[in-house]
Amino acid sequence: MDAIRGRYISICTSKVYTQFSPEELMELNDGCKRYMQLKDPSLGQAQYFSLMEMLFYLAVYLCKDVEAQVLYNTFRDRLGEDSPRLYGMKSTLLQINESDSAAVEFIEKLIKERLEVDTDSISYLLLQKRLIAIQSKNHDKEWVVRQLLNLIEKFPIDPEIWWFAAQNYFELGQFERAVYCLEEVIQLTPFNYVASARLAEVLYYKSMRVDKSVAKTKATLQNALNNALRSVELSENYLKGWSLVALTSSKLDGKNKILQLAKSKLQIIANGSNAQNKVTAELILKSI
Amino acid sequence: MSSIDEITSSDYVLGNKKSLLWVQDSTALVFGIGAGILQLESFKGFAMFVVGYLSVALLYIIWICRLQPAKYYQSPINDIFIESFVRELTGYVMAWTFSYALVG
Amino acid sequence: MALLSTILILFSSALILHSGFSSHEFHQLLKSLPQDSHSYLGHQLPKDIQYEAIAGIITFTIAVFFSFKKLTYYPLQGPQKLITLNHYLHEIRMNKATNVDNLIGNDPYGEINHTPNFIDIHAKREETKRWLEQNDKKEI
Repeated sequence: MDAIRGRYISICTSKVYTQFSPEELMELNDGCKRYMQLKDPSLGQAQYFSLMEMLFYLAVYLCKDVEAQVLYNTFRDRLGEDSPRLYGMKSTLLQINESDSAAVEFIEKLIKERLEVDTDSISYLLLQKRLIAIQSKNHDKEWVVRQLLNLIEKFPIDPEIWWFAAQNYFELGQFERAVYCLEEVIQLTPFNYVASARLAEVLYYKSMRVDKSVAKTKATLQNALNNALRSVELSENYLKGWSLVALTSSKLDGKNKILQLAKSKLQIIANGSNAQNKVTAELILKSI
Repeated sequence: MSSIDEITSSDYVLGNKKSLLWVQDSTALVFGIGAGILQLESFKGFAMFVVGYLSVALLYIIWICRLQPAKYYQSPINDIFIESFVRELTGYVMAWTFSYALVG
Repeated sequence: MALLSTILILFSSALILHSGFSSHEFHQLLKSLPQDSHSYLGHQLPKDIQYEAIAGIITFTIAVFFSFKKLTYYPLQGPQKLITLNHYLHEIRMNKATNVDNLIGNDPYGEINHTPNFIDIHAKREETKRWLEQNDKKEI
């Protein structure tokens, strides 16, 4: 029971369900509902509501509109309409039941009438993010980046915006700027080893694609290696971190020791981790 | 410069302390009830507390921590032996006097 | 282990209760004796009651320790196979503590790194619809 609860709570807090494939979403939706019906006494109320919120978004992703509406109504009756998460849910519902423009209208009205003058920075930030997400479909990446930068001006310590900006810059091929954004993310969440590995990855791409001179390539690769090492320093068996360590050290001269260490660590992961990591680690070991 | 070993996961630090506290709380109460049933008085009662408290802590280190308390607690001596001493003593004395009066 | 622990706790509670009641009766009996009689002055709790109480305490302590379970996890994605670790507590050093996350495929900073607030809902729903259609075709 502990393990099952732990799984759903982890999925819910890490929001990894936003990256799931439809099949996994379906499985998660059914499993989570079955679990909620068991009425586990160790499940706290806050956790219960988080799981309910996850079920709402799962219903949205899985096109179960009626179910989503029912879940939203439950929330609304229980907690009232005026809270950041509820605003987020309502705008999502408007998006699927009516249209994007209805959702945009709702958010803009809310911001103009209340949030711009209120001190509720959480709702304001969340709705601004949603607004960008909804409108991004009709605009190009440059527009999205401009909006993100405007938002960063107002909320410079929100790591999620920085990360999303990094993502967009990366897709635009502006590696230098993506690197800067990721460095900001690491400044805000210093133990975020995933961000360190991502930074190493972006730096690696930069050295391959952008850097012309040999000296510059080398410096960038060294920087990438440092960041990859930082991520494995924070997380001993982090597959992506060790893969990047191996990759960058194999491209640099005189890093044989580090390369050997990375290979042995990858071997350990290939022997003792979960099925997915095993396969990946073996593939990387073969390719280096 | 702080070394990487000093970076800890605060959730797990709290969680481990909570498990230790549950062991110490429950055993201190039962030891107190036992002392009352045995009608221990003055020094003997406190001696029983000290013996019980220390043996539970040692058993915890051997059984649950696998003799490596430093892996699970930031400062093992302080966290396991000292921090909750007064808390457990008060619990113990309460249960002791309660059951002493009830039985005698 | 949890079941064993519960049984032991119940058993030890019975022992402690019983010894407590015996001790109570003994002391009531003692009070009815004349205060200067020989047996009153040299009184001591009978050995069997003492042993019962001590056995109760020890059993309870052991039961509390038995209530600890080895840490178990299910991986977040992929086949659901129970992973049991060989210890009772979480290691606290950051580089070791994240091993569990690596093992089950969790990202402790997912709330940032997966950018959940910037998800394009329509794309997600489109994907699901396609998948559902494909499944329907397969079934036919």
